[in-house]
Amino acid sequence: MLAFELERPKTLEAALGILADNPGKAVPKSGGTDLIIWMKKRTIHPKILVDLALIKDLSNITISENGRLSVGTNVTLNRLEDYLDEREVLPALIDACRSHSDFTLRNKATMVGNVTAAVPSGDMIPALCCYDAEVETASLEGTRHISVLDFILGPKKNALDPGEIATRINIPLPEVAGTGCYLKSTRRSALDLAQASVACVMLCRTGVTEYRLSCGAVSPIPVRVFEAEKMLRGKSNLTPSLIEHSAELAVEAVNPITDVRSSREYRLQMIRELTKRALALCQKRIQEVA
Amino acid sequence: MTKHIVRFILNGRAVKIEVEPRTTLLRTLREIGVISVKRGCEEGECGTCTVLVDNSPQKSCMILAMEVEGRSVTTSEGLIFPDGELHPIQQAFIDEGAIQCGYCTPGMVMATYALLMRSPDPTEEEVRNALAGNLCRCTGYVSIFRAVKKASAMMKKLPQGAGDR
Ligand SMILES: Cc1cc2nc3c(=O)[nH]c(=O)nc-3n(C[C@H](O)[C@H](O)[C@H](O)COP(=O)(O)OP(=O)(O)OC[C@H]3O[C@@H](n4cnc5c(N)ncnc54)[C@H](O)[C@@H]3O)c2cc1C
Ligand code: FES
Ligand code: FES
Repeated sequence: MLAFELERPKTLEAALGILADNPGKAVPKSGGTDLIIWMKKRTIHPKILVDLALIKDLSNITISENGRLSVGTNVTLNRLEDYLDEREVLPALIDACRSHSDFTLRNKATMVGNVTAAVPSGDMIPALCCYDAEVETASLEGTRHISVLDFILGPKKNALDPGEIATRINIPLPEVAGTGCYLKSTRRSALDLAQASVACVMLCRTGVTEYRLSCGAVSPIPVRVFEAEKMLRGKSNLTPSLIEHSAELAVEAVNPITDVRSSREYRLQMIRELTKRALALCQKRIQEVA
Repeated sequence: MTKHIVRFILNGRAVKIEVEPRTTLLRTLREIGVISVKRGCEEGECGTCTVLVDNSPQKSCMILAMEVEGRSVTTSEGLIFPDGELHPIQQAFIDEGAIQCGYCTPGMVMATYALLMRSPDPTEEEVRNALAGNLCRCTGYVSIFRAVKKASAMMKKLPQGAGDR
């Protein structure tokens, strides 16, 4: 790894100051599980690493009065999983936490870091898209709120301006009963990036069942399968033909590449299969809670 | 690059070490002679560098030494009792033949220790989940899972807290 200086500011203001004073030189760090690898491989070589870990305001999980979950950038995936599991909320996000790397690494890796890394296979992204999550940012100019769907602009490209950091991810908790899941196809069951993945959320509003579908690792930017969501709206009983049709629409919504993990053709097949399994699993889970 | 002083508790003893910002906890520990912590992939994939930081298992190749300022770090050396007797987890790995070349063992032992602290009587699934990030090229894992079960039983026979580090 090339040499760098490490700054560990205790306040957000101090962190933003260091970033503003060192344009193009200073890079923010949350868990560092992506950064350390990229720095070892020399794909990036920041002069200054700004470790956000000691900023207390960015280390908590809160739920506001209007039911908005807010997760600070220092919150590790294991802490998030425990928090959600205890409260039995956001099941697709719980699945996503559990699918990420392995138990030990999840004591370091964060959800915010996963989103700011903006890698198409990022495991937290599809579930966050289904839950209409937004990234909260801060810079010396002020704060912004950007939906996760709009935040990721392409592989390793996010919507942050120079000197701006992601402080939190905010998720409106669904006010109605429902369920969700995240399914990921990999070559081995731990420590592997997704070849393809599908998050599915089912929300049971009185009279109208709603669905949200999002695919991972099969497009440079996040994908919501709005066509399938529209078609499924109001259908509380998912028949085999509805499921089949949804899988078809999911395949049409994505545009995967061939890389070391799998071919484009295989990824398309997996999106078809995972969409079917995800819808079936939601149907099963909703019957279990009912 | 400038060096910095980092102070932390290592296996119960306060230490003060000069490090460069880029030096990982893994390399720092090995430099000062804590060689149970092995250098495997150095990319977070193999788990042989696993240590506890404030009781949470961490891959020490994924942590910069300066990040453990003021914190407590435990390695396999730190599990040994003051009289030199091995910790039940270490003994169980020997008894069950869960060590062949031994390269993965310290990491496996630390991941197991963290597991048994949070779940003294783990299910097979919990064991597999806890050790999913620790690779072993030799044993085929079955003897390792047996050792974890045995360690869990041995630790229950110890007086309350005697196996804690
Ligand atoms: C062994 C191994 C296995 C992995 N397995 C998986 C997996 O299964 N699934 C998966 O999705 N990923 C995986 N990853 C990748 C990585 O662990 C995740 O993307 C992780 O969630 C990143 O979080 P972090 O906090 O470590 O990010 P960091 O490394 O801290 O940051 C990632 C990027 O975001 C930027 N950044 C961080 N925080 C902020 C902020 N607050 N504001 C602005 N920019 C910021 C950094 O500058 C960097 O560019 C794996 C990595 C390793 C080493
Ligand atoms: S050396 Fe740290 S995980 Fe392999
Ligand atoms: S005993 Fe050789 S790697 Fe596990």
